[in-house]
Amino acid sequence: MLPIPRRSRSALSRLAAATIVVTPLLWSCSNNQTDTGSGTETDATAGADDGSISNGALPAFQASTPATGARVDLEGGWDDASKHVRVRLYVAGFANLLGLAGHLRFDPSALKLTALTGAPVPLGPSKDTLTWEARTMAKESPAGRVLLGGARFRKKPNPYVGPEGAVVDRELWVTLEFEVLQPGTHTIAFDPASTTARNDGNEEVSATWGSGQIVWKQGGVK
Amino acid sequence: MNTHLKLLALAAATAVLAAGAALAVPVQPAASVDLPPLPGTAFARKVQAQQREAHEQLSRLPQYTPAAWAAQDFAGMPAQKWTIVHQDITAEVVAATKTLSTTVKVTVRANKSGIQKLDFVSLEISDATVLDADGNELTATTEAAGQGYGMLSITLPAPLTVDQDQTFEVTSKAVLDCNGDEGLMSCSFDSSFKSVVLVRYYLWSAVSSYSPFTSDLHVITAADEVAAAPGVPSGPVKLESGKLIWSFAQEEITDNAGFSIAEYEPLVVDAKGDLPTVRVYAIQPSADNAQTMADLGQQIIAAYGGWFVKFPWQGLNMIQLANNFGGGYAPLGAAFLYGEVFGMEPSDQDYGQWQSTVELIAHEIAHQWWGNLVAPLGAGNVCLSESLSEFASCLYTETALDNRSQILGDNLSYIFTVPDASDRPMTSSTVYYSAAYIQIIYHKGAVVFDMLRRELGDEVMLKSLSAYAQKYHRDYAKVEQLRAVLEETSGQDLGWFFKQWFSGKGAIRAHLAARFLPQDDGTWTVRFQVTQKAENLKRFQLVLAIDLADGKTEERVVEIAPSATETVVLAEVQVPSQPVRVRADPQRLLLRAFTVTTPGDVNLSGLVDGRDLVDMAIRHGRGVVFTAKNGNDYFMPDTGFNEIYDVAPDNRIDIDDVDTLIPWAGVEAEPF
Repeated sequence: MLPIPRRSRSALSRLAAATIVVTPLLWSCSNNQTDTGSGTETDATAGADDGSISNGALPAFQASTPATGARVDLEGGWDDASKHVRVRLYVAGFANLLGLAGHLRFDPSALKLTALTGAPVPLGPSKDTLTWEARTMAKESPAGRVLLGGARFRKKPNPYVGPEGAVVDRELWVTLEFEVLQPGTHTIAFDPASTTARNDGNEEVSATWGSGQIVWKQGGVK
Repeated sequence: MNTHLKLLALAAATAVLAAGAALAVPVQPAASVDLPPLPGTAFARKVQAQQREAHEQLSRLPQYTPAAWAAQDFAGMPAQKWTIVHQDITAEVVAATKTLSTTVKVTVRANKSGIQKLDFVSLEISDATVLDADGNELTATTEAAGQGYGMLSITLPAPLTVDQDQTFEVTSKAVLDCNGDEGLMSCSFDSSFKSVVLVRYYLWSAVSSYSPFTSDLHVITAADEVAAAPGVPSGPVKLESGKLIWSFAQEEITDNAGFSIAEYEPLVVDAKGDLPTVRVYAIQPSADNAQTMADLGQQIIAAYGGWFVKFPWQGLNMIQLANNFGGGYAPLGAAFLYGEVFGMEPSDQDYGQWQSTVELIAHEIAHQWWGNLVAPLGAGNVCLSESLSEFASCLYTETALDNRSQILGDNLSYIFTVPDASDRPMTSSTVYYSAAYIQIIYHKGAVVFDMLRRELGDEVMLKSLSAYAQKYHRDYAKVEQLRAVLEETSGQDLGWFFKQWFSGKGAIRAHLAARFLPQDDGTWTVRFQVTQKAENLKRFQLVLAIDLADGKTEERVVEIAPSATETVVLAEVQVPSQPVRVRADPQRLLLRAFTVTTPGDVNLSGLVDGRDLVDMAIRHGRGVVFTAKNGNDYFMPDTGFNEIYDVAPDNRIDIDDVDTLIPWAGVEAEPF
């Protein structure tokens, strides 16, 4: 479980907190909760859904072209509940994944990370938590760089059994919420030199590390 | 994980987060474990064999310092009034009563005039009869000396003539005490083997604890038995009683004359080229595997012969004993080995049996050079026997079995199982009395010689050992003399190395930190910092494997040579592209325990991030402490263990380490 303290709230988020009951995004290693979302993500082009948005279109998230094979996908959109753009990272398409890591970067003058939660990844399709446990590292340090990592571990390890990678069809890894500070197109992408995905043989697994853009064409959130 | 340690680690993590910067004080390494090796493992078998061998070590070492050193052929021994020149020994045992009957024709030589009384140490003998060369009975008295031994004093009718050999015949009986549960079995009688290995049943001068001589040994057996012993065999000769006499000529000067009787089916592999005759004495069913043992023996001898000097004796007798012997013992020209190893084949890979068999046999055969050809002078030089033999064995397994598990196991054993209180310099005259004698002399000693090999290079190292063997063959040697040969051959001043590793205690214990700095030309600088305690400054060459973001790895060697007061040493190396990880001493060539200065930065990138977590996953489960099904903890030399990843120190890499590391995310190395 890796929630980070929320930072100073914007007017929008204060309003959202006051009007909407938010389900806490708490992650447990033992019960394998998955992120069910705390509100409704909205296509930014659909327009405002309440009076708190002062004017113009809502910020939207546009993911890079979907890849196939081993990959980290970014998905997201406007979240009515939090009044932020929520971006989810999914790990998918790995046949043998022991761990992965990377630095996710964005412009901190344009985007402010307001929430960051990680889910234990990779666990594999069976979610055999009697045998396996996973840990995720997720921390913004400094602003504009999110240090991410995920790896799985045998619960009863010993030197006679080595690590064992997981088959990952699609698992939610990290959820981020951004407050958009400026209009424009703001890229969220991994630093290519920082990424790694490795199998249980400590071999690098070729993977596509997705990216996306938060687009806010006009106006601002007051 | 120890709860207290865990709390400390978590407290440290919290402090880092609160400070928002790197901690200057790194996590301290885990304490050494005072644990026995995990039973049933190859390492446990090896340590048991070494403990048993070591138990006999002290009694085999000469305890004096010669007045005139550096003479050849043991002439460096102090002048004695008289010496034993030769013994012709006939021995017969009665297993039921553990009675050993001997007739020893002992030839002595007076070096000074006026010698009319000869005092020998012997077994606690009874029915002693002493005859002169003409068959006249001489006056002899016996006296118990404790632990099954006694004194035999012969009074001569006239003084010995100086420089003239004179022979006496001593006939006696003794009841053997074969009890012993720590060392190698000195003697043993069971349904398969009757062995007298470490009992000094012959005579030796009471003047010196070491009085080597040439010998002829004759062992009387039943008609269906075969005797085995060091030396060149002949016979058997059949007696009228139907019994057999087996003879073994030992032309070299030594005092090792053990023997064993069993229904051996000897296999003789004749000498060929530089390889000597190898004789394997094994009983069924192991006898069917004798060729495997002979081949192994010859392969080891061939390797050592090429590295050191040609095998120096007329042959090697590999003699199977009962399993209760527990290990190996290598008198001149022979290797007594516990029974089980004779049944091993290269295909026996489960639980490392073949590996441990090769390690044991290679160690014992190495003693033909280190311990027999060149004998260590006194306890302070025992590393010239045991450390060199273990090093040779490690070198052999590295070469022949293509793995370094033996030297790595030795390395980990010393690093993680020797408390400070038990540590001694390798050249300490009291090292034998340390509870960690095996770890210091066998394990650290082998690694120290291996580090010397890295310092000098393989060619110079082996050339030096060859020169040392040639210079001190059939003689005693001291560590200083080995150093002199090494310096002469290499042209290097090795004073610092010998002071650090032979005269000094301990190992390299250092905190490491690294930072990656981009350069204008696109290259990167890896700045590396090594911090040691002032009281344990070590000089060493450190191999750095630097993994780059493009998947390539660059290797650099940095010299860590602190001055007398320099606790922090910086080094810089250039790499062509962005680095992501530094692996320090990735092959564990050094006798070391590393920790990271920046807590959690296990991959020494200068930043605690997800890569550290993934690297931790690769190492997860590794440890040198193993909890067995019985709930007890044991030491286990897991060669995959890297103490750097043990960030919640308990000598194993587990989920506690992971959970300690994660909160450190974002911590960066302090600028240096």
